[in-house]
Amino acid sequence: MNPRRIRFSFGTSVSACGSLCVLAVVTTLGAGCGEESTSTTSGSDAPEITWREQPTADGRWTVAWRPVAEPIPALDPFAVEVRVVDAEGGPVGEEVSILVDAGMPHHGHGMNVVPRISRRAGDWIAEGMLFHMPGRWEFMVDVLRDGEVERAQWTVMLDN
Amino acid sequence: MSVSSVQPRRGRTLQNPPPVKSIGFRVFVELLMTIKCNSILSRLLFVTLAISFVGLAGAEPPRFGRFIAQEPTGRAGRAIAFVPSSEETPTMLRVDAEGRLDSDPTAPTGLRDLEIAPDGQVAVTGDQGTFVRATEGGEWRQVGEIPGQAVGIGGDAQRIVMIGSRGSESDGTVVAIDPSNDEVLWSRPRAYPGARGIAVLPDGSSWITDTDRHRLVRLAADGTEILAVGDRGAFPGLFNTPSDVSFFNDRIFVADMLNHRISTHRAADGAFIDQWGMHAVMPRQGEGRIHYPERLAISADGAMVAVLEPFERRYQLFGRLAEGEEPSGANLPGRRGVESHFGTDIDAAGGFLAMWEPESGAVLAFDTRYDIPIHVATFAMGGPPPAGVGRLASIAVDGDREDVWLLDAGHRRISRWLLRTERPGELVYDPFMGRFARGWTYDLLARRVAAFQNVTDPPWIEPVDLLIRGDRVHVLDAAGPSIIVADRDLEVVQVIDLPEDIAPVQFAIEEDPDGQVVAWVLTDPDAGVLRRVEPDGVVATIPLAGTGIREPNGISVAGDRLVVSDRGSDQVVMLDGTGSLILRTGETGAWDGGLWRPAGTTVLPNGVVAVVDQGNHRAQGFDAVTGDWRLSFSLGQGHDKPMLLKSSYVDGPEKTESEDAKDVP
Repeated sequence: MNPRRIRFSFGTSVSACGSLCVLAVVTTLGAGCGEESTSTTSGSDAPEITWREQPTADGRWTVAWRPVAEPIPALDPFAVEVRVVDAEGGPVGEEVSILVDAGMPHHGHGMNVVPRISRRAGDWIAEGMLFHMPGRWEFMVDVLRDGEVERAQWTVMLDN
Repeated sequence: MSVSSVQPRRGRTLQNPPPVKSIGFRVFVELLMTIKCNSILSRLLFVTLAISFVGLAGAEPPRFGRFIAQEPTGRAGRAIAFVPSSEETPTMLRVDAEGRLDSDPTAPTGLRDLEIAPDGQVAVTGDQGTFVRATEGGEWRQVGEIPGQAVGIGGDAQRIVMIGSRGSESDGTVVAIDPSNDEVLWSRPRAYPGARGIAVLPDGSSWITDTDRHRLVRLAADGTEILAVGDRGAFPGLFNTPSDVSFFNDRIFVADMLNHRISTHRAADGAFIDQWGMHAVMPRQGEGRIHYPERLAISADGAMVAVLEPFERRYQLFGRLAEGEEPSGANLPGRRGVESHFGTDIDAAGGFLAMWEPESGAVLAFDTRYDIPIHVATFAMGGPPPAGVGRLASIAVDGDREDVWLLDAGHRRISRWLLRTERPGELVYDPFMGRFARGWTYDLLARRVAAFQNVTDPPWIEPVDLLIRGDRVHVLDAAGPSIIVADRDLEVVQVIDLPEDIAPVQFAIEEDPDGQVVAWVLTDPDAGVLRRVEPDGVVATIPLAGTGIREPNGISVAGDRLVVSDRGSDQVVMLDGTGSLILRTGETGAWDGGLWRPAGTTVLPNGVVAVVDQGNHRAQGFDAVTGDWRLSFSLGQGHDKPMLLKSSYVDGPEKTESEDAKDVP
């Protein structure tokens, strides 16, 4: 099966975002995303992969993520990288952890799998993600610390 | 009738997987059939062998589900047990809605559970602790002091195992006691918060319904957890809020409350065997249909099962099925009117109203800009934390910010969700409207309470209600008890400790015209009173003796009136600020204006008082001034002209809606 192309659109966001990426080319995609930033990294040979960046609901963290390889396939497992900084853009400590999930609220279901999340240096990688059908997915990252959790959420359209 | 004398069941479906011993039986019979047997002696030998095999292997376990009888309990009973007797007609012992043991005025009060051992010893547990009465009767003897939620008695070496009471500091604590010398054999402090049921097996081990985690847990005779079975779900073998467990012979019976059924499992390992029960579709259905079973009991000979349904104010008796017989009430009748499951709370503010659906754990948002609230979003879902829902205790709408706050007693968390429609101004169903934003554990809130009060040890908190006013989150804690006020980051800004004898379930806030808190008013159903708490901590009791209120539950403030739902009389009662009666409205029934175990209340933007008519699976609205019925609504349905007429439900002339409102001069 050929991997299907993915495009991103954005729902609500609550505040301006700081930049996370070393090589940042801010691109605005979709309607109503003026406060949300995306950025890309570029290598000499590798294709550019866009970071999606957004503050969590109450702005205590800023979260960015991108797939390890593009495009995100429909019906095949994939992995994403996740970065989290605090409200001032500083690195987060070891006491911070994350959860990564996705769902289709209009269908009343989430993914059929639970991704494996591991920390690598200052970032996380979530492996074993699976969008098992095309359509609108909500991609979610929960940032947890000391009994408290706060979410950042993106809309991802997976085309037929 | 003995277990082995029951015939194996012939047909099976997906909903009734093969019982555990059936495959070996089939193989054995097929092997026998391959042997040529021409002589009569051989045939007799084979028959004898076959009968012996069935006896050794154990015939398929008997199936239950034949409806025998149902008996009203009056209000909501708490527990039930069979009295060992040689009589054919069963004798039942019950704990009533007030926690009294019927027919025994000498028994302790405030009871929550009872169990009768095969030898006739009676064990009870409740607010005053755990007690036992000898087989031959006589005085009650206290064997445990902590408030109890559930009790089991049994074992070859007789023992009592009890679970600490929900809402208390001992919530989920499991203790085993030797009743011969009152010695505590072992204790598991707060091991299973929210657990509601326990059964002790002959070997001294026990099964617990770990209610909020939707599973069964088996504890060894020394209290060690050795097995956990099940998860949340509706398929056979899964559970949704299992509330009680009983043991007989080689199996356990489980009251699977939010699946509205009884399931049977192998006692040794919890393997699923069978189930019966189907959710009632019409209000007050019984005759085999099961609705919110909370307690069950098994007769001494194992031939009869009693299922207590406090929500329906009754218990039903079931017996074993004959071969090929299906459980009673397994067909689907027609339905009428508006019907959905709702939890005990409701809140409206800004342009939204919110309730929840306990079975699925989903939150339901309604648009209140129109005369009838219109369902516009369903969000959240039963599942693991942080965003999955366990067992909600309360829901609150922040009208200024269009947020919904959830008090999740099952996961012991508070969470805040955003209500952000993607099509502002349009009346559309928006599945993307509700978004999880932030959550806090109860433990974190308790630590912040301790820090605020400058004490070292965080208190055990058991929040039962939550309200949002301005920038403040108000939490009613039943364990303290206390009122905790926090900012929107849940940083504690005020704690008011309440007297220990208060057992609140819901509260409302009286405000001055500037929005400042004048008082919190709490419902205390066990005491049958309201409590008014002023910001300086002064607590006043508002007696309800002259109001006819039996079991105050939901409460809200409508102008200068207090609106109280009474689950005891199925009425909504309006009081003035001193607690004096203004009017009562509603009556027991399923028609428009009729109520069944009404719960939370709130006030809609148009001034109509909305109440969760929980037993009728809907919400209704009443005029805040006259008490007249105004509307009924549910998921996808609603009407503000009388549609469900009393005459359709009962004989005799129909009463008008205004007659249902009982104005008091």
